[in-house]
Formats: sequence, C-alpha cells, structure tokens
Amino acid sequence: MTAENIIGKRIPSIDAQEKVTGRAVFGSDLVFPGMLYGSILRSRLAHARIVHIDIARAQRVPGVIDILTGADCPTERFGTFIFDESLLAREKVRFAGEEVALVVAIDRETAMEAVGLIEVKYEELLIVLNPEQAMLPGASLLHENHAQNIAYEVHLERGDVDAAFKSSYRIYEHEFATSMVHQSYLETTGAVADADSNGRITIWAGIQNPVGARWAYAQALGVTPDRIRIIQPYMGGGFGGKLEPKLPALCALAAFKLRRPVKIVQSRSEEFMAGSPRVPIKYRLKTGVSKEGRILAKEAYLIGDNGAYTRWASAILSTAAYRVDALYEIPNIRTTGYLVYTNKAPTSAFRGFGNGQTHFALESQIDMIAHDIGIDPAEIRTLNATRPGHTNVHGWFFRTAGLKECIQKATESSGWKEKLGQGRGKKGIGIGCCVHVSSNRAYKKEFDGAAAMVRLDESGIIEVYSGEADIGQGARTIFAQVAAEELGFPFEKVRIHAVDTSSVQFAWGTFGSRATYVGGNAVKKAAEDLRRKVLDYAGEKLNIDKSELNLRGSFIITKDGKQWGLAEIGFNYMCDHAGSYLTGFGHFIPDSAYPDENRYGNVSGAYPFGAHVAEVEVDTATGEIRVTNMVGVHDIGRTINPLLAEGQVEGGMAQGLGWALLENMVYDEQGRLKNPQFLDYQIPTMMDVPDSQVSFVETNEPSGPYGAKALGEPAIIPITPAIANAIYDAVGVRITDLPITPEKILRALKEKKGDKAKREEL
Amino acid sequence: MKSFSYLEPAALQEALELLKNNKGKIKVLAGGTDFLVQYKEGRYNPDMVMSLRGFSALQGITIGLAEIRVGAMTTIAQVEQSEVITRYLPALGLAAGMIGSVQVRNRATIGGNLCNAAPSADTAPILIAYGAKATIVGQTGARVIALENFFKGPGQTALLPDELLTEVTIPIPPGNSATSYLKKSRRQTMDIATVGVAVHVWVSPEINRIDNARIVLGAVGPYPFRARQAEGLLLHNLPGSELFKQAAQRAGEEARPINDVRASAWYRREVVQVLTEWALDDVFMERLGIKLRN
Amino acid sequence: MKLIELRVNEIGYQLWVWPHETLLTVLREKLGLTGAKEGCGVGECGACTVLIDNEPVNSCLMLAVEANGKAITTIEGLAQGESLHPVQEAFIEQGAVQCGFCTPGMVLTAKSLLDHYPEPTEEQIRKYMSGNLCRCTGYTKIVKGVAAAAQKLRGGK
Repeated sequence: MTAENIIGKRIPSIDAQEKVTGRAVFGSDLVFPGMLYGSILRSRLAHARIVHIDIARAQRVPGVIDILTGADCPTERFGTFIFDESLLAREKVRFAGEEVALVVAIDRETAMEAVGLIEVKYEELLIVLNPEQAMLPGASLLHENHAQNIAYEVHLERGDVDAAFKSSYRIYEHEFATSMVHQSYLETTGAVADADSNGRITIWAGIQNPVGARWAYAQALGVTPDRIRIIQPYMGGGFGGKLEPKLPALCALAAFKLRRPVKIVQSRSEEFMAGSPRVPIKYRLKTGVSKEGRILAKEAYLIGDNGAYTRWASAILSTAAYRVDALYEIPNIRTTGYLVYTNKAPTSAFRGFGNGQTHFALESQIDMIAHDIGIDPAEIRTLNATRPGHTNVHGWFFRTAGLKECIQKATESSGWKEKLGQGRGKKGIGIGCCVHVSSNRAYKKEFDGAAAMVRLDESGIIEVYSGEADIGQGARTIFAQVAAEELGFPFEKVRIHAVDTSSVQFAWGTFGSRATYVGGNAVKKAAEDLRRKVLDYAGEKLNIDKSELNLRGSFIITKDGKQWGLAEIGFNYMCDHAGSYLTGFGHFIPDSAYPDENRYGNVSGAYPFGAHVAEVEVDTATGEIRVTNMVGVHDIGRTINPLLAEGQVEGGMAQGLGWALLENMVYDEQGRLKNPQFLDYQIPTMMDVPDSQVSFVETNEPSGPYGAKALGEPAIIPITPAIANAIYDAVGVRITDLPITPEKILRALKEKKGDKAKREEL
Repeated sequence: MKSFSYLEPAALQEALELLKNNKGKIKVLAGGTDFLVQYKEGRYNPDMVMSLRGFSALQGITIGLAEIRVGAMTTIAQVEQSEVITRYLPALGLAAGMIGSVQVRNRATIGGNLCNAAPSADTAPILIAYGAKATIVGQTGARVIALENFFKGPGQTALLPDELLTEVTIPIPPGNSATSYLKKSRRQTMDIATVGVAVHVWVSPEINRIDNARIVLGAVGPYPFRARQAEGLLLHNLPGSELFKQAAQRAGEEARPINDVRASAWYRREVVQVLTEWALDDVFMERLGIKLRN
Repeated sequence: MKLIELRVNEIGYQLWVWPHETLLTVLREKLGLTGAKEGCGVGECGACTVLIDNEPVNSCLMLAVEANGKAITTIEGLAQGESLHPVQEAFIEQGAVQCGFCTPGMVLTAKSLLDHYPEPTEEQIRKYMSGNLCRCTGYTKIVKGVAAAAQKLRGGK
C-alpha cells in the first residue's frame, strides 16, 4: 500500500484477519481467574408490586456466593435523561423480563439453578400495553410521578400552518404505525466486571459508548465516574442496542459488592425480553400540497411507546418529531408528540434513532400524494428536496445537500422510468429518501465533538487513541486511514489503541452517526498536530528550516533528498524527553448549536442524505413479497473507504428489509413477549436479501474529514418506505403499519377486490 | 438445568430393554436438534437420555422390490441427498431439503422429525401422501401402522413408552402417479411451515381419470392429516381447473388452523386453498404432463 | 460424567464431560476454543458452526457425548499457521467481515460448501449458507467472498 492518498481506497478492515481466524476476543469470550458467574431472575409479570423475595432456598445451593436484590441498589434512580430505572427492581416490576434478583455463583449453571429457586411474592397490578390507552385518565400508572403515563412530550410550531393548509391545493391525512423491532446483533449483551480493594471498578464490555456510559453507570451504582474504568473488547454488533445497556452496570454492582470478577452474558431470549428495542411510533400525518406537488404545510401527531423505562427514548421521540423536516423544504410545520409508558420492554435506540420511524410515515405519504396528483414519486421528491445553502424552519443549515443527486442516481441506475407503473399485478418499484445528522448536539448539553491523540513511539509506530468505539462498523479502519493519510505513513503500520477509558480521552461514543465525522475529524487534527511536532523536532535536530522538510512513508525527507526514519525520530525524541513520546492532540468542535427552548438551532455540523430504490415481486395468491433488487445511493460527502461504506449500506438495507417485512415483537394480553427467539422473531437470512447495488454522491462537506459526512444510520432508513412503495406499485395496496406481512397484503387485496366487485354491482 | 444420565446402547435389543426397565424416565435422542432446544427451554427434564447412535440398525436407506425403507436414524441430509429418494420419492427429498439449515439437516433424523410430532414437521405430510408405514418395535415385537395414524397431537405419537420407531416404509409409487409438497413460511428458508400441503394422485392410464388421491395438510391442525373430503371430490373425476378449485376450497374448509405468532387461522386457511390448487396443478401438469380441462 | 475422546483440529483430547454439556460449551470452556460463538443457543443463527467429519453442524445443538470419537474442525484449525485458508483470505479482501461475530461460523460453512460445490452459483451459496445469520453485512459481500474463494481454490490459489 502506498503511503499517500489512502482516502477513497477499498481497504479491508484493519481487524478482519483477527476475526476470520477466530482470534478476536469478544466480551463473551473473556475468562478471568476466580471469576464468578451471574444469572438474573426476571419478572414473569408485566406489572406487579413486589411483596416479598424469598432467597433462602436459592442461597442453600452449593456454589452460590451471593444473591442481590433491589435492596442492594442505590435508592436514587438512574437514567440517561429521565431518572426512572433501577438496576434491580425496587418495590415494583413494570415489564415481564425486568431484573428482580441477581444470583452470583461459582459457575453459570449453579447460578441458573439458584435463580429457579428464588420465590417472589407479587401483588399483581393492572397492566397497560397500548400507549393510547395508557394516556387515558384512570389508566394504571407505571410511575406515580408521570401522570397519564406521559414520560415526555414535544410541541413545535413554525410558520403559519393553518393559513398554509387553507391555501393548499389538496390536503392528505393518513395514519401510520411502526413496529417494535430488535437490533438483533449476533452477540448478546454481556460483561465482566471486577473491583479492586480500593473499590475501583473495571468493566470489560462491548458497548457503544464506553467512556460516556460511565456517567449513567456511576449513577446506577451510586459512585463517581472516576471509579469506573471500561475496556472495550471486540463486540458483536450494536445498532443502538448497546448504547450504555444496563447489564454491565448490574455486573459491576455484584463485582463491587464481592470484590471479585463477575461475568454475565444474556441469553438470546433475555436479550429480546429486556433489551432496548426500537421505539414503536404511531403517526397521524397531515400534509398540504400545491397543485405542482410542493409541500406547503405538515402537521404531525406522534405517540411513542416508551415501554417501562425511558433510557434514550425521550431524545428518540424528539428526533422522530422533527429531524425529517430537513428532508424537504417545508415552510409551515406543527408537531405534537407524546412518549408514553407501557408495561413492555423499555424501548430505546436502534439505528436511525426515531428518524427511521418518521421517514416510513412521511416517505409513504409522499408516495400516496404523488400517485394522487399524478406526479412521478421521484419527481415530487426532487421538487421538494432540501438544497445546499438552505436553512430550514428549525434553523438547520445545509452546507452540502446531495439529495437530488441521490434520487437521480438511484432512479437512473435502477431503470426507474421504464419500470414504474409497468409491473402492476406482480412486480413493482419504489423509492424512499432520507436525511440524517453527523452527530447531534441536541443529545448532550455539555458539548459536541470529539478528541483524539496520535503518538509516535520509539519504534516509529503510529498509534491512534480515540474513545469513539468500533462496534463492528469499521471505525478503527477509518481512523487508521485518516492518520495514515495525514502523516503520509503506511496504513499497515498504524495501530489503533483499544478503547480503555483509562488511556483515551473523553468521548460520547458511537451513536448519532458520529464516529467518522467527529471522531475522524479529531483523529485528523491530532495527526496534524503530531505532524507539526515531528517536523518541528526534526527541523531542530537537523538544523534545517522545517518548511524544507516533508513527511512521507515513515521518513522525514529533506529538500535535497536526505531521509530520516520516523523510528529514529521517535527514539531520539523519547530519549531527549525522558520517555515522553511525540504525541499529537486534536479535537473537533462542529459549528452546530444546542437548540433553544423552542428546539430552534442547527443541531449538526453536516447532514447526510440518501435515496434507495427497491424492486419487489408480490404473489397475489398468497400475499408473499420478495424483494428482488435494492439500489442504495448516499450523499456521504466523501467516501473514505468504499469497501466499508458499501458494507454499511448493504447491511442497513438488509436490516431495513427485515423491519419492513419480517420483524415484530409480539406481546400477549398479559404483556409477555410471544417471540423471544430467532425461530419466531425472524431476521433476514441470505435467501431473503437480494443482491444490491450501492453507490455514493460526493458533495465534499467542507467541515468533514476529507469532506466526509455520516453513513451508519442513514443506511437503514430509506429502504423500508421504498419497499412499501414498491408493493403499492406492484399490486395497488398500501400497507401503513409495519411489518408488511403476506397476510396484510392478502387481506388488502381481497378487500380491494371486494370493493371493486361492490362498485360494479352498483 | 438438571443434568441427566446418558445411555448409549450398542444394539437395538439393549435399547428396548433399557426402555422397558425405565418406563417413562427415558428420553430417546436421535439427532438432538429438537431435543436440545426443548431441554434448554426447560420443556424436557428427563432423568435419562438414550442415544441411538451406538448401533447402525436404524440407519440408511434401502430399496426393496416394492418399497423403500428409511431407517429412523437416517439424517435429513441423507434423505435429501439420496439417489434412491431423488429417483423414486422426489417430493420427499425436496421436503427434506426444506427443513432448517444445512447444519440442522446434518444432525436431524427422519425418525426424530416424526417422533417430535410437530404439527409443522416437513417430512410428515409428504410421507403420509406417499402412503408410508411406520415400523414400531417394542419388547414384544414389531407392529406396523400407517403413518397417518402415527400422530396423536402436538408432540404426541402412537409410540408407547417402551417402543421405538425403527423405520418408515414407503411403497414405490407406480408410474401413473405423482406427488408434490408445497410449503409456505415467513422466510424463504430456515423456517418452519406456516402451511404445508402434500398431494399424491394416481391416474388411470390413457383416460387420465383420477383413481386415487391423497391430500395431506401440515401446520393447520394438531398433527398432519388428510383432507379426505377434498380427496373425495377428486376421485373418479377427470383433472380440471374447476375441479381443483373445488377440492382446494374443500381442503381449506377441512383445515383446523390456529392463530399464532406466525399467521392467523384465516390466513392459513387461505394458503391451504392456494397450495392445494398449486400442488394439484403441479402434479398433473408438471409431473404427469396432463393438460387440464377447465 | 462421561469420558470422551475428541479430535479437534488434529489434536486428540480425552475429556470428562457432563452428559448435558453441549459440544459448544466444551469447545469454548474446556478447550478454550472461543472461535465458535453462541448467538442464540437453539440452532437458529449458525454462529456456533463447527465441522464434524468435514460437515457443518450447530455445536450448540449437539451434546459433547454425541461427538465422542469424532474429528472436529473449528475456526482455529482452518489456517495452516499464518497461511490463511482461501475462504478466510477472500472474506478479508471482499469486505465480508464487519463485527466478526458470525464470521467463524460463516467461514466454516463456506468451506464445506466449496468442498461440495467447487463452482457454486449465487443461489447455491445463498441456500447452503442460509443457516448462518449476519446482521451487519446484508450478506452481499459474504456471497462475493464465497464466490471469490471458489475462484481462488479453482485457480490453485
């Protein structure tokens, strides 16, 4: 590999070899001397008062070391934004699957056996499973301090909505509903925690925000964040679900009490019962358009299902309420949203963070509008698309915006014009678009941005320190590319320090599509700093003006062609400075703003866009749907690594396909999850996902590292409505609630046929 | 999870003795792909588990003059890949290939698939359609029953606690007959049937009249069963689209589906009709090459 | 407990195991071969795939006692020293690896596929490997990786 121009190259993942050989050690693989195992007793009931927990029989099982209950947790509740959760239930359980007790034993089986012997006496309470019912007066309350079970609400108004509706050519009003879907990363959540004699806790866990999570974990444990060190092993996927999950803190609670290493790994069914699936949101969406199809006004009413605890869901509802308004230039907007507690698993972040839900609603409705007023669905999107240089009604500024180009490229490469409306009865084609953020200042009041260190050691090796986590998406590889590019250093020789909160700087972590944009920028700045320092030092040592020096391929090169190796520079510097390494520090602060009390303010430094086209075949006899082709085009500013970027989009589209067609967590009337296994909660297999074509639009975002914007989350968003729209194109039925099952299609087809027959009779 | 003692008899007779001496306490282990799932979920908690891997008497596919014998311990992968099956019982081979994954088919056995008695078991409807018989061996000897009488309910079979299913015997279908097994599930693969329909028809040479027909429905009742009224509609008639529609509709009426997380009873009934019609079309047009009347 | 003999990656072991222990547990916890992963524990995801007599099985759905006397290949036994198997090489080059948790099982199933079908069609690849779930890649690059490995194997590497 040449040292230069590594940006834009198809570089395989820096850690792929460790992974294909099975050498990569994941959190669930870790074993420590003297390690104990934890197993969790979970509530069978969805809502009940805990009258008594009898642990006597369980304690007698040989090998049981300790049994923890709510009494072992701090009385103060913890949370990300709303403090409503406890590591183990205190007084009440609020969903079936909630953690009630933790058995710690010498091995996993002993712990599991003892869990089965704990007897809990409950006093059952009325349950509420439907958020609309939960909001009614008199409904059973989950949390006494949240009247009508409302955890959070959003009210927004821009422009003159009523006047805009009055002047609209047509007004459309539809309802949409998204489902409760699980991230279903292949590695279930797990952790090992240990505590030393001074009460300093170390947690080894594959989580998305190792540094940032310490704040919530500290609160959950009733200690200060400095007491917690988190080390991130390889992790088997996150997709939002491993954003400060509860389990590592629970593990730490036991380790802290026992001062011994404790390991807990959730089973797949526990993962389903008590993970943090996507917030299901119901919509009433009213949109007014002009005769040409320009969107004049939009009014949205949202109800989000919070489940039993809030976690990140308040920020998700907020995102769902207004991020979509950046997709099209809509001057008049009114939005009301409620996040409502129900006796189900706490819902939280899943790739897209609420934005995907709302895109399903809006991108379905735009399609309906296009068909009704007789405009090509791609054209109505182009007509309304956010343009570069635009500032929208919420104060968001789009320095770059390649939505039109994405639509154009996606339609051209899929043969859109020839296929649209041609396959009625069986084949169909549909489009969906999206906008997202590259980090979001609204999530965290303190700051937005990222920091990094890049150091040159005595062997001439460059090592990058970033707290922004690689969760399988390839952040390590991107950071190594950025450092290599900036320093003109061979990629193969760049090392990425594993995230260890005791050696990296503060980092919010991997969510909000932050890693490449803010994390990459920070690495770039740190590398620039190191480069400057190396040249300064070399100039000084060689007594040459540093402007005559260049850094390339592990060497300082003078104007007259003399070379000095970085290994030598690193060694000399270290000796001259009593062990100090040449270290570059860098941080990046996006020019975004924390929104004001009316949610006005430019929340992100850069906005990525995308358009997906889906082709489907629908069997009108059974309602079965096959997605036969997917085309994904994204404006990510600049593609740092096409191999990895394509992989993000391919994976996102497959996940969006699952969301559209297959996946759904179903509860029975008692609030118990009916399908907590991959047998019944089905994610797509290789046979369900077609081959796909992915390409990029490069708008070269000036604020991004080498022009790059975000990609991780946008990758899942457009495909779900694109599939729904393709199904409509194929068979003329519109399903507005996810998932779109063969059964719903067949019912709709029969109803349509019945209607038609009825009309003909008349 | 409670452990169990593991028995690995070296001969069939020994296995039968163990069953007799420990009546009701033994869970018989074939491939283990269903057993271990249910054991881990706590649905089984046996004192003893008896593996049948220690002897070869129950393994393999043999062909006789008029029938094919499949030993109960023959793996699903072996059934799927067998040249004998592909040649004489092609629909059984295809049905076997629809079960689970390659990994599961390498371990799961035909005996296990039948004895687990899931209403959705993929090999059951097609074997019943082929007229398969189950050989059941106990201490006192062997008995042979029609496979359609083998199933008694979800997870329940005609096996007594001291008996083993040793093989299934399938008559080699005559040249004037054809079979088809169609399955619908939510995913393209790696899924259990939402509905499975097996069809087997025999026609008179030359005049193509339907002499005999079997329509077997899977996943729409407590166990796979024959839609006898639908079969009756076909009997002694000439194949035709209208006739097939009627038979399919009747099969839909005969189905006894439930609502579950996979599909509603309504949808299952609809799909029974569709698959029955398709399977009939398939056997006549594709397999027998007979043109349908309207 | 039962005494069993396993031949894992060409090394013979004699082990005492509980009758209810799965092969996956024994490989991971007794032999320290953590390349096989537990993704679901019930044979739905394929992350625990190992080869027994060169055929893929879910090690989470097999009792260790049932593997007595068998030759087992885990991901740790696939490369010859530092020289990777063509499937491993192709997976790296084609970007078929993201989080890597499904990768060991995916690679072993692919190896078995190519032993049976040296020139697989895309359909054959997808059907044979559908018991291995991946949530990161959308499978496109895995299918390409398998096809590229087939080519490497045919071309004598």
